[in-house]
Order: sequence, then structure tokens, then C-alpha cells
Amino acid sequence: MLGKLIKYDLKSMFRSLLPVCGAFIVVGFLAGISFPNTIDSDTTSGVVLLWGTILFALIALTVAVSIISLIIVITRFYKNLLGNEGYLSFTLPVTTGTHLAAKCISGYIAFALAVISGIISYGLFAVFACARTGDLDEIGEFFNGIFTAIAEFASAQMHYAVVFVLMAIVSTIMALIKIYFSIMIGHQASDHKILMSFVAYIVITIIESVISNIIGMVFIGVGVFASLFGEMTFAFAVTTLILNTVLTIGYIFGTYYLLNNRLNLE
Amino acid sequence: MALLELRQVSKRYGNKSALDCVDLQLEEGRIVGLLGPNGSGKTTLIKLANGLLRTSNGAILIDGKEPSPETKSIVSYLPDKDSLPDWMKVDDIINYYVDFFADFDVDRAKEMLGSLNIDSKMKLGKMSKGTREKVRLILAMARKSKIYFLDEPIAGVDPAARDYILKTIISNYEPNALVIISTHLIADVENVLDEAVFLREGHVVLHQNVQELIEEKGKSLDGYFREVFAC
Amino acid sequence: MEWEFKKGVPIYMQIIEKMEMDLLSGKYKPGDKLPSVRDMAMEAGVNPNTMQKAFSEMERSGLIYTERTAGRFVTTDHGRISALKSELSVKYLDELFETLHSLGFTDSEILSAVKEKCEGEE
Repeated sequence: MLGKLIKYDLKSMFRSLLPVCGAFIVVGFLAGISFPNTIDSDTTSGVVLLWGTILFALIALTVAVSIISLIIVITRFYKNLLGNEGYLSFTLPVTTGTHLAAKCISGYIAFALAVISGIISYGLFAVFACARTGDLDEIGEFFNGIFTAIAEFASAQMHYAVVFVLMAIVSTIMALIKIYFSIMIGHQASDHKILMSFVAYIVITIIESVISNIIGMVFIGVGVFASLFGEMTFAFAVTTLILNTVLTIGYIFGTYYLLNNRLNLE
Repeated sequence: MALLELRQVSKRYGNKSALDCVDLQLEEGRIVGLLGPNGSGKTTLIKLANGLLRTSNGAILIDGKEPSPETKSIVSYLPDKDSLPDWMKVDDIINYYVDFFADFDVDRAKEMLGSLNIDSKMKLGKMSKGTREKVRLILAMARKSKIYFLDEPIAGVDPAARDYILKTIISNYEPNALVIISTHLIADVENVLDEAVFLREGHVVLHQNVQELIEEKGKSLDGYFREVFAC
Repeated sequence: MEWEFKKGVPIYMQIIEKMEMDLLSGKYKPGDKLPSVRDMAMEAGVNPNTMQKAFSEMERSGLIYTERTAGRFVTTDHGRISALKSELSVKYLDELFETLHSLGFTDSEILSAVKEKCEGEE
């Protein structure tokens, strides 16, 4: 059942998401192949103008894909579970937990798709632009250099690398579930539900900042007094990781509770 | 054993009671009318039975169990809201039902769509409201469930479609199923009902066999309803 | 599409009435097989349990009988059918007399009116 729910979530979201991501990749490719080989007095202004326009489109699409993917994920959650479709969704022989899991997974996939299309788009841009200016080797070296640096850092500072990776995973999950939690809180209001969802999101974010600032100051204080900067920095990173994990778990349970016990379809 | 049972069920919103200490038992093999004015608690009762709301007090039991995925697989719900996704075609929503409901009878659904001349390749969002209602009803009736909740099944359709819908409800009748129809249009459905349940302000004020009631009161169910709920 | 029913009288009774008339008018002949409860319920636009109740009543009063595997049939007992004919004529005459009495007719006035009608139709 979980797989089926995810399937239909993706079917619905991909209707709008795939075209936008597709356009994004195509424009990245175009920006690459229209890249002027050289810019000197011989280059026609037309060529530069064309590339400039395409570049502008690429940047616009970058912003658009980010915003649109967010809207698509939010809309899917809202329409499918809290709108009229909720009357169908919640009469499926499926637990609330399964519904939430499906929305988390499909939301994650949608965002991942947006990110991947960005990587491909700019990747194509870089590769084809360099192909045109004959700097292909330099690109290879450039990326090689980055990967080597990361690998060196990781093996030297294994503990940081682990924390970093875990942080990346937790943060992305946290970002998504925080949105769903805010939507559910807003749903409790009798009026202006969407507005209240935004308010909830802002309030939660403020609370998060306050907590992490307090923790940060504690660590800085201890670090200053005890001159344990290195250890304190690592301890701070670990503590932030733990804090975010706890918050994420809290948001998951909060969202589940509201969805299971405080559903109020109109 | 009653197929649908409410034991001292209450549902409160703030200090307002949508349902107040309701006891009700409905047996299989019946077509029951859930009747009452707006705000009487009909929709709340149906939502509770479908697991869309939690009781404030008391227990609601479907075939002896509390609402859960297990009960949802034997309950077919036709809400009075337009609950189907706009972007799907009829074929798509049929596949959706096949995917999730083991008791869905595809052939029956296609047969009904055919006799109402509904194009299965059409997008739901592009259909008229009346046609969408028919599709929703067909999907709900094509399931071989134990309990059917039909919330205003004939309110939004033309008279010819109404006849078809009532005939479908009759022909779908199974001795081990329970059909609950909630509606304002009592005169149109009363010949199809075995029993009537009158709800007023969250209380059950009547639960009786319709033929007995007509014999007792000497008037139609619709007529008696108007008498009981006269403003 | 459905049968027309009066308000205020139980449906199963009205079904029995209609079927009695169909029997006497020849729509259903003695020994005819009747459609299933479900089919008749659909045709009449009524609840199958109501139709079942009507059938059970008619079976009890001897108008129809059930052959377990074959279905339901109209009785072939001509005595029973003529008894039905008498029952109904008494019933409708009672109704007629009641109505005309309430309009102020005496029995003899009613009799003359009936005679006139019969002569007029010859």
C-alpha cells in the first residue's frame, strides 16, 4: 500500500514537476552550447546577447524550480489529505502512519529531483561551455580537485565527516516534515488555515533559532573560558545534530498525532 | 450481531455537541435512511463510522471493530463532497480503486459506466458536475462491501439518473450488506428504505421499520417527517 | 418507470393489491412463473424486503406458491381465484357505497343509478 500511495503522489506531482525540470535541463544545455568561444572585438553582439538571454532564463528557472517544487509538494499534501480528496484518501484501507510516510518519501523524491535536475543542468552548462572554449580538461581537473580535497578531509577528520553527512540527511528530512507539521497546525484553525500554517512555520523557526543560539552561546562560553575551541566546535556540531534529530522526531510525532486525531475535513 | 453499532457515542466541538450519547444498532440486509435537518448530526455520524473523526466519548463499531484500515476495506463511502482528483481520467480512477480496494468489481463498474454513456477516457475535471456525481456513485456501488454510506446520492443529478441510481441501489442489495442513505429527499427514497432513523440535534428520535411506521401513522414517511420536524 | 404508490398505505399492501388486479385482469395467468423478488423490486422501484413481504403474504393467502428450485408461481387453484374475485368485488362495492353514502345517496338511489348505467351501456 505504501508503494501505491507513493506512486500516485509522484504521478500527480510529476505532471507539473517534470516539465519544469526538463526545461531547466534543456536551458542549461543551451547555455552551454551557446557559450561564446571568445569575447573580442570580432564577436557579434548578437551572439553575446543570445547567450546572455539564455543565461538569464537559466537563472530564472533556477529560482522557479526551487519555488515550484516547494509549491508542488505543499499542494500535494494539502489537497490530497486535507482538501476534498481527503474524503477519498482517508477511507482507503491504509493507516495514518502509512499516509504520512508516503508523503514524506514522495516529497523527498520531488525535492531530490529538483536538485538533481539542477546539478545536471549546470553540469551540462559547464561541460558544453568548456567544450566550446577548449577547457574540457580544466573542468576535469577542477572536479577532480574538489573530490580529492573532500576525500582527504574526510579521511583526516573522519568524525567531522560523519557528523556532516548525518547533518545533511537530518536537515533535509527536517525541512520537509517541518513544512507538513506547520500545515497540520494551520489546519486546526477554524479560519484562514493557510495563513495560520505560515504563521506556525515562522513561529517554529524562531523557536528553533532561539534554542540553537542559546546552545551556541553555551559552547562559546565554555570554549572561551576553558580554551577548548577545537573540542567545543566538534561538541557543538554534535549537539546541533542531536538537537535537529530530536526536533525532527518531534515534528514527525506532532504531524502524525494531528493527522490521526485532529483531522477535520470540511 | 449488528453490523454498525454506536454505544453512547458523543462528538463535541468546543461546547457544542454534534452527537450526544447516541445508541444505535443497524443489522445487515437492510437499507436504512439516516434522516434529519442540517446540523442534526447525520454527517458527523457517517464521518465517525468512516474513521474521519474520533469520538469524544463512546464507541462506534463496524462489524464489531473500531474504525481502522480493516473496517475501511469493508466500508464503501460516497461523500456529498466532490472527492475525486481532477487530473485523473475515468480509467485512471478505476485503476486507483482496483489498486486499493480488494472488493472493487471492475466489470460491474465498466458496465455501469457504459449504460450511463460515460466516456472512460475523459478527464474528471472536464466533466459536468452531474456526470462526476454519477462516476462517484458508480465507483462506490461497484465495490462489494458490507456497509455502504451514501451521503445525498441523488441530490445533484437529473430525475432520469435518480431512477437509475435508486434501481442500482435496489439491484445491488445483498442480504449480508447494509446500505445507509443520508438525504433530504425523503419522498424520492422512502420506497427503497427498510428502516428510518430520525436524528435531531445529535439525538436519535426514531428508529423504525418504514412499512410499520406508515401503517401506524397512516401517512408517508415524508409526511411523518415533516410533522416531526415542523418548524 | 416505477409503479405509482399512494401515500399513507404500506407499500407491501399496495403491491399485493396491484398483483391481485394483475391476476384477475389476466396479466398473470394461473400457473405463470413470477419474476424473482429482486427483479420485481427493481421494476417497482421498491426495497426487496418489502417485495418479499408482499410475496410472503400472497403465499400465505394462497395466491402464489413456491417450488423450491423452480421459483414462484401463480396458483392454479381456480377456486381460490374466484374467491379473490368475490373478495375484490365486495371490497370495491364497499368503497363505492361508503363514498356515495357520504355524498348523501340512499341505498335505493345507488341501485337506480347502477341500473341506469348498465342500461346506458347496452
